[in-house]
Amino acid sequence: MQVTRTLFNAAQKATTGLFGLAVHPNPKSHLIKTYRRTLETLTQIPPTAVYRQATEALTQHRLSIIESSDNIKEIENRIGAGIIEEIIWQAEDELKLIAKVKEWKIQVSNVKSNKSILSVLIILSLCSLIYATTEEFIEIPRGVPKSKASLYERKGPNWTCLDGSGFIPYEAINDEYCDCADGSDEPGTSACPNSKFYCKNIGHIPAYISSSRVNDGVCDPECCDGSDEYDGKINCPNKCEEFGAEYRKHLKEMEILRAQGADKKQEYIKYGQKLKIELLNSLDFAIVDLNAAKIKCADREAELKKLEHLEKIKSESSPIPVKEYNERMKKYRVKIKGLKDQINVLQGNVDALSKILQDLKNGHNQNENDITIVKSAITAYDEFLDNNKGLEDFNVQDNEEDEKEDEILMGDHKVPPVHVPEIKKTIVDMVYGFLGLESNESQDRSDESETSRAEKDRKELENKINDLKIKLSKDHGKQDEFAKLDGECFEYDSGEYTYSICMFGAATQKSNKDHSSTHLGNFQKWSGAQSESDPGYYTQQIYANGLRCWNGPERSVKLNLECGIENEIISVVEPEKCEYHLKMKTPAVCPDNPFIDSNKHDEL
Amino acid sequence: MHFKRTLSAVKREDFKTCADSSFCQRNRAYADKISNNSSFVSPYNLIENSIIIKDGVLSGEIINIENDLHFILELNLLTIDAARIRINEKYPLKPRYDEVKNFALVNEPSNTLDYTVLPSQDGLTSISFGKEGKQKVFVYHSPFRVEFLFNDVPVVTLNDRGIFNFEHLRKKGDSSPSLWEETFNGKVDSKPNGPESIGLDISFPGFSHVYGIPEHASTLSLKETRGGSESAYTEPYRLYNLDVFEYELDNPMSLYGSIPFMMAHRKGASAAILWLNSAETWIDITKSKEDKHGLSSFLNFGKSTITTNTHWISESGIIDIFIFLGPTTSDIHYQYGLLTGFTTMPQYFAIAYHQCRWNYLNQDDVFEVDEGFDKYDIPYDVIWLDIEHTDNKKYTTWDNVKFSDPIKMQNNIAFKGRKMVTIVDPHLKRDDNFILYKEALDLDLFIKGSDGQVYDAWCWPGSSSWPDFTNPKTCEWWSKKFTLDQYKGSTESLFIWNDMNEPSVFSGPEITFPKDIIQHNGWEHRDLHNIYGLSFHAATFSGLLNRKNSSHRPFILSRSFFAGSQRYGAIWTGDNMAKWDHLAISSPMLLTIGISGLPFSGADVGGFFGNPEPELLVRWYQAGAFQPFFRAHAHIDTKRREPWLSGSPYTEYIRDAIRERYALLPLWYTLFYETSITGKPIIRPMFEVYPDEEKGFAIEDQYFVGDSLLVKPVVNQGQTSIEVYFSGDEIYYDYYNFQRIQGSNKVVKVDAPLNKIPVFIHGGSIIPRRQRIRRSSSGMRLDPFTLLIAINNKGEANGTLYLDDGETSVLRVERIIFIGLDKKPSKIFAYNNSNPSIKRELEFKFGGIGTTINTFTTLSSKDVLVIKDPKLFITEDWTVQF
Repeated sequence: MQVTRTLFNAAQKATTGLFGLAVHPNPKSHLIKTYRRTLETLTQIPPTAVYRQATEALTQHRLSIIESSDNIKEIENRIGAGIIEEIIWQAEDELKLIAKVKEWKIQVSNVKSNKSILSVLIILSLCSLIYATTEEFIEIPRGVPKSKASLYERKGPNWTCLDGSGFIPYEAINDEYCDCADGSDEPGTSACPNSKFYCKNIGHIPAYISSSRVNDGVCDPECCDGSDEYDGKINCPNKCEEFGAEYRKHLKEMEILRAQGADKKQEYIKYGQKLKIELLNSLDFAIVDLNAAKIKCADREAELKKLEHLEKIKSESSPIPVKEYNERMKKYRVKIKGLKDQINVLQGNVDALSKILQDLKNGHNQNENDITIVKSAITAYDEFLDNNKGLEDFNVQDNEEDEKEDEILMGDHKVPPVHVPEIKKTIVDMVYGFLGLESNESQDRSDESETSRAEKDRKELENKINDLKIKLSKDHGKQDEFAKLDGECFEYDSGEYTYSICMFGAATQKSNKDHSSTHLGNFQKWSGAQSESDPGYYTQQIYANGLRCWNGPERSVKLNLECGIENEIISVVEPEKCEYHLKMKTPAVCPDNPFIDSNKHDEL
Repeated sequence: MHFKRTLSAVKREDFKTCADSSFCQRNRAYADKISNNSSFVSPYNLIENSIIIKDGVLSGEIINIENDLHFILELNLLTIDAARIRINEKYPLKPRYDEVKNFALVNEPSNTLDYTVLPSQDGLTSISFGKEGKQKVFVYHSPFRVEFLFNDVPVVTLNDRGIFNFEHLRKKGDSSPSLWEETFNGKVDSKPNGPESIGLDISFPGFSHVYGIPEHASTLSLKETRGGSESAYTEPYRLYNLDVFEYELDNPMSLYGSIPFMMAHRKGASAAILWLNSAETWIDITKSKEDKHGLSSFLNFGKSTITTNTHWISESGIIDIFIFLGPTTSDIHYQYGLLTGFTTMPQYFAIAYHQCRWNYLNQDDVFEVDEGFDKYDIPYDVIWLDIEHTDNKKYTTWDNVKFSDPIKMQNNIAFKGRKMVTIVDPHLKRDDNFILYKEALDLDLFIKGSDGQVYDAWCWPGSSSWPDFTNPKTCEWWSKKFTLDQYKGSTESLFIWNDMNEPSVFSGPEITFPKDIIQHNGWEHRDLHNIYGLSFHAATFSGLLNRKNSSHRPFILSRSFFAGSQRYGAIWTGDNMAKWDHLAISSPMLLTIGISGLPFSGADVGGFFGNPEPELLVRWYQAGAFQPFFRAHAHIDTKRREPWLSGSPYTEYIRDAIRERYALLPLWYTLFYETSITGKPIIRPMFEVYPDEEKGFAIEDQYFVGDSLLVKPVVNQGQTSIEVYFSGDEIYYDYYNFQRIQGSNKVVKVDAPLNKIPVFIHGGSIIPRRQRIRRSSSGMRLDPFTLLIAINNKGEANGTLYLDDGETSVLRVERIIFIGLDKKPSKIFAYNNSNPSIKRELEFKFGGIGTTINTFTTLSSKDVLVIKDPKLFITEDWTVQF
């Protein structure tokens, strides 16, 4: 038979008509072989993977067609994917791709075993689907899947609505008239508002569509087999093969991507966990050191007391005692802090003011009646800018004044020269310290007392422990996969603005026109879901308390994370005034298992 | 650091009061002087021997005996059962503006030859006119006064109180300098013509209710404007199209549009006038019991001897008034429609649900919103793009970053039978790279400032100029800009939104044009301010008509309007607020606009400014679903509020409200057809349906859709029951459960849970519905009909259904529901009228138990009969026999 057919075929078809595609001498057996190998190879991929399920379904479907017929023309027609040589080419291509997919088998070990039951069920339903194509003679009302066929079995002249709301003649099923409250009598028409129509979509994924889409004159992509449009209003060609192929290609790409992402994520997890251990170790060490420093401090203090006592005896006429100096210093510290706060507040005012005026100037005129205000604001702003040109020197000037003030204060107390250098130095250090500057006298510390050094060590250690605790308390994800990203900054150029986000830090918007920068908020929390246990929890971050908008709320950012090989912001939108939605790709949210879970395929 | 949010309402000081407008003040003062002086006699006399009556026209000369100035009077008796009076200076210093008729009227109405000059009396000329001579006009000579009568009862009187005042044009040296230049809020109006106002009192004897003169956030039955009672205003109603930011309610301040049409109604009679003038206009209204001409003897009913006096004051132009003598409101709507045009029949999608927001940010956003409706199975027909979709507010361009492929975007929507609307405003960005600006500049089509230079002022794009659409050349040029090759990135699924066309000018006086800028033929903008919006709307309408290969009807929404705007599309009530009282006022505002000849109108669902709480949003959707133009819109500063964002159960309630609109589209479409040939409003105040029931004359918080549905929007927070006034000795049926309510001019308290808006079927009507849910109206095109037959006291019902696209021959009836039957029929037959011998027995259910009538209720009433699928075609004649 086969031979005859081949000869016949060769005689009939000297060329495939397709460039670069030779006529195959023995297509049927070749295909059967290829498909069997495909099915065998597929077993190495987790059964929950949609890719495997979809490919298996298609392969089995085609295999059954080929095995059931010796007529190549008929096979071609029933598969509907071109001439037999093309089908072979597709089959070989598929097989090659599986080999690639197999390479990610290592990750498969992460798959949780509780999915196996589910996968069996799915495969069963897929099998039944395939049978449905060959067993069309079974009476199933239109729009009902095979799995629900029993509910519509004819058991007599009448039929009961699935919700029991009515008792109707069996013929009233799909009679274009809604009889049942739950719509169950019209699974295949648009007559009931609340029913669903089942599209088999052979070659792709079956789907339910709302009854509102049945015979509405639109070829819905969800119902790629066109079975929802049957009243002649429109002719919807079956596009399931095409869509299915596209979909599987997409799945493959996604799975490749996810596999690579998963690899990277593993690196992140390792990094994060290593970092955590290091931090914990450092913490342990620091706590030990702190205890030692405390003991040392106590010793020094005792010694100091002794010395003080001696000194007191030595000279009763000693000027201001150390204790008093300390108290004074405390006062100065408070005063300096107060001044510094004031500066900050003022600077803040100026920043905010500048920002608002900047906004105005940039054309915030949505409130049309305020146009005169806008205009006068612009004028006022320009004047303001002129008047505040010396603004940057503000800090420095203030420092000098403070220093002067310090000297004056000290002068008043007539501090004896022997004590002055040390005390003054401490004060100056403190002033510089508070102002965030470095003292230029910092090298000259040779005669610093042992006591203050011990005290300093203790403070430093305490700060360090505090720091470590803060770092350790940061929520870097379930497996510390985000630790790697902490502090890393990413940018996105939207044309008008460049948005930047420093992970777990601050989000900013920089104007590409004038390079002015607007604070959009600081990291506040994870917000992908209500509960941490929800897998979506670590897919969204909130950055809040940014600069208040003119006539609006404080700016804030929602950072949505999706799996990708690289860390990159892919879009920025402002769906509501001053609320920015950023989309970012990062390996940190890639699933541990690269295969797409079948019960989640709709997320793609 | 906290900055106080500026949450202010309207800035009253930005807008003039009568006292800020010298001509209004002068005319008001004149009226006061007269009312305080009982011996006053109007100085305007009709010169007896100048009167000529010929070909339906009475013409003559009026003299002001105080200054010996002469005026030409023309009284036209029209074929449309109306009259027209024109008065102009005989020898004006220069022509006065008389071109508004070219924009507002369909064409000049013709004079009737069907009139009789009645035997002359001393000082009085009287003519009867119209088919049965029921209409009469009495022209009194000294002082000049005109009285219109129907069935010998006076209904409209001009200059009854003698306030007629015609300020003649004069030379600057001749009069006090204060009559010339005027300053408001630091902005100078040069007033090159000096004083040129006109004022006239128009009385409606025996009428205690007058309606109309939109647009105001005011009551349906207009209020008195000269104080005297707590609810009365002290300012006149103003007609001067303005962009009023966060407008105040219960206020006679002017808004975005103006229709100088006023209708008076009482038991047994209706009359109306159109004051055809496009300059700034103020209208004072007072109601009086005194009757100085002893008219009450004419009014045989003696019940209402209240007369409504109105005083009309316009800044310039001539007197050109149409008087419609009814006698019913339907007659008036028809007469007015013949004059100014009927509503152009819209496409089906235009009366479905519209989704708008300032702004859908980019094509992905559009895609997601579109998908959202499908995901939640909520129908919608049109998605709108506000100003941010353009390249720097250059209309008819696209921001090519946010909307890189507008054609694909529109096709993706069109694929599901949906449409898109983009905004096109009249201000053109002054940018030589903007082709519309460049062309208009080169062709010299822009409005000029008083200095002769192209007028340049501030609007959305910054520095802008405005084409002069009163110049025919501008219209011709503009009407070519909407073809697919001209409007790049547009498709046949794209329609237009004309906003800011009062016009809104951020830097102008009262946020609009200065009055002394110059338009076509050298007219000052002062003369024609109120038709700028209409002229722009009309030009855009021509633009869509010119679209290549396009046989479809244009759809253009405009914010500004004037008499005649109904020919060009829909209007909406502008920038309202997300507050309960703004929801409440949408009913009287839309009823008023509707009876003034412009029924295709709506209010932004949800409120434009601010964030509606979910309950308010639900109630607004329910109200909007029963208003002619149904669009949700929101300001850029508001939170997102697409229906699914409210969450359960609000989303379901909103979905049900929208679905109800779609189910009733056949009724709405039929009503649009009705208005397109009769001028009748689509949503009707009580007095339109029950014209003799005085208790209903001032009701404005409930209305009829057509004559068949009585709707009572819930407009208070937390309300779960509501009082409904049921007019007439008629049966009503609850729309949802078909329960019977016997109306007898009484108030009944009904349930109003949040999931439904109280709606009642008027006994005697047949309501066509389509109960299948689709994602847009186009999907319903071939769906079967359900006929809801609500029987009245006499056991009768009737209704109409309009279908019009020629593809309707296979449309079948899915079910027929009879409501109000008192006994169970034993058998029901149907036969086609063309072959009555073939009768078919029909399947039916009495009591309708278990039948879903819509998505959220089940029939429970026992007097309901449901005939299942009678296998009848809607387009054929058939009979169903019990």
